[in-house]
Amino acid sequence: MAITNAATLEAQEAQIIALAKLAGLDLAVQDYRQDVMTAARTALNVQKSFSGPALNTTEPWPAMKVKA
Amino acid sequence: MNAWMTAAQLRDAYAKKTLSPVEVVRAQLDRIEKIDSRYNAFLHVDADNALKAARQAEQALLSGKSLGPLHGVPVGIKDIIDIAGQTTTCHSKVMQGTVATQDADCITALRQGGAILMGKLALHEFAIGGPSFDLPYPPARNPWNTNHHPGGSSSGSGAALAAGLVPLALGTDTGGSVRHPAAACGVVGLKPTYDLVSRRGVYPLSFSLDHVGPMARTVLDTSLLLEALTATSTSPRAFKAGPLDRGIAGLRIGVIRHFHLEDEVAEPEMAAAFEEACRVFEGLGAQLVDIRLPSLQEFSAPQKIILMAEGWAVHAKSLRARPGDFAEMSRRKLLCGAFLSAGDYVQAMQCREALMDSVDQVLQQVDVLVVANSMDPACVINDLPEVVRTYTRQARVPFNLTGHPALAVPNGFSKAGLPLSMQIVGRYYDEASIFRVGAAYEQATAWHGMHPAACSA
Repeated sequence: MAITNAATLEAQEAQIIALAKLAGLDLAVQDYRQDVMTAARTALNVQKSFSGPALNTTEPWPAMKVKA
Repeated sequence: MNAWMTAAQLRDAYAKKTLSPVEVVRAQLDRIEKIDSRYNAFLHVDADNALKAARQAEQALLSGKSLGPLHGVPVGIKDIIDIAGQTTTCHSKVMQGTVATQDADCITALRQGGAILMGKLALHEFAIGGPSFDLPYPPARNPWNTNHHPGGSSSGSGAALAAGLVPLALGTDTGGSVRHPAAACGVVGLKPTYDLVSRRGVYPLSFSLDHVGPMARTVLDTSLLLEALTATSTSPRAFKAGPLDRGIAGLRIGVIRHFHLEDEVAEPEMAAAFEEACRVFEGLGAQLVDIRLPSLQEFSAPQKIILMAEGWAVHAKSLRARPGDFAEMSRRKLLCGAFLSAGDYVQAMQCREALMDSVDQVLQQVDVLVVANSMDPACVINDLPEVVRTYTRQARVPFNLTGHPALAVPNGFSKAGLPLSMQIVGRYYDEASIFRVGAAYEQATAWHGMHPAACSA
């Protein structure tokens, strides 16, 4: 079980690094890897706690308007 | 001059000629020089320009002219707000050497109102970090106990008011950054209705959640500062401060308890102070109505996504090129947005309208809401896990998301002598009602008249 968890964690870390590099964060990955990991996991936790709108066709706030 | 004089008292003293703006500004500058090394509230004291403005204010008074509602009153400015010719550091290495070429709209409003700008106040880096020790400037300290967090991000604004360094200060509030230091430092802070005070010239954190807010030691002073801030063409409407002695008999106050009893359980001292405040409101003749809103979690998830996404949009370029120039706390918070999708952001904005409606609907049944503020008294400043925790243990973010005005008012002290606070929330653009309720509470209690013993020296 511990091996599986470690493997999962390693795979997740690799995904995070790939995403960070896609976002142009090579320097941050190189010098502040732990901060990148912490930020990614924080964002993931917030995503998980968010159920989204009750109705997927709800117009986002603020409603789009032409400039007067 | 007594360091605890309010802006309203200063105006009266000027009118009676028992004090002059030059005397007041000199006294405040001396006090800053003498005691601010304990609190680090100021990043930059603009003594020369403050004295120059004080002399002009004095001349105007002598010739019978009024420069505006804040004529000769000193104000401290959070250093995320542009003052022409001065560096806006945002308390960050990233911004060193960035000199503003124009005043922010709120600074223009203060100048038009006759206020005297005393200098720039400390904050959490870019209004998001925390009390960081890896920046060129030290973090502000809580005047009630310098080992404790002063709240943030407008930490210098809260500390300067509590230490009697200025009677008025400007803060900004994206997830509670006016109301958190107001709570921790035992002062009053308003997050106005979204967009009531112009944000132009204020370094953004999250465009759709950012608010510029007045802070002071009393509700009346907070209302006077709001009047000055909105008395320009850049505000959608002008707020007019009026007498706050009407009482609250007959007003309907909605009481939100589930935020601090169920959703994020508050320290017993906070909950007890909240109940005591409700008894005060009842004693003043208000009718209390129990109200339920969506849970704190339902508000905070979309608020966090919006803040992360918008904050990333602002800071992505610097985070890519010079991540080492950010403090660790802000770097960790600002990087989050890189891991969200465009869909996450749109879905958060989709939820927003319904949450706005939920608050609006209850405000059709009652005149104002009373809500908890921080769930705990201020934590120790260098206890990192507690510092991180303090930003989640609060009931402020719902009103950044919905844009309703929310006033933080002191409502007691913990056994350890740290301030406690609650919020009064109103309808859009009805700051008058929350000031009315806040002032009635303030007049019935003594909290606003208490000051840190160490600051009397």
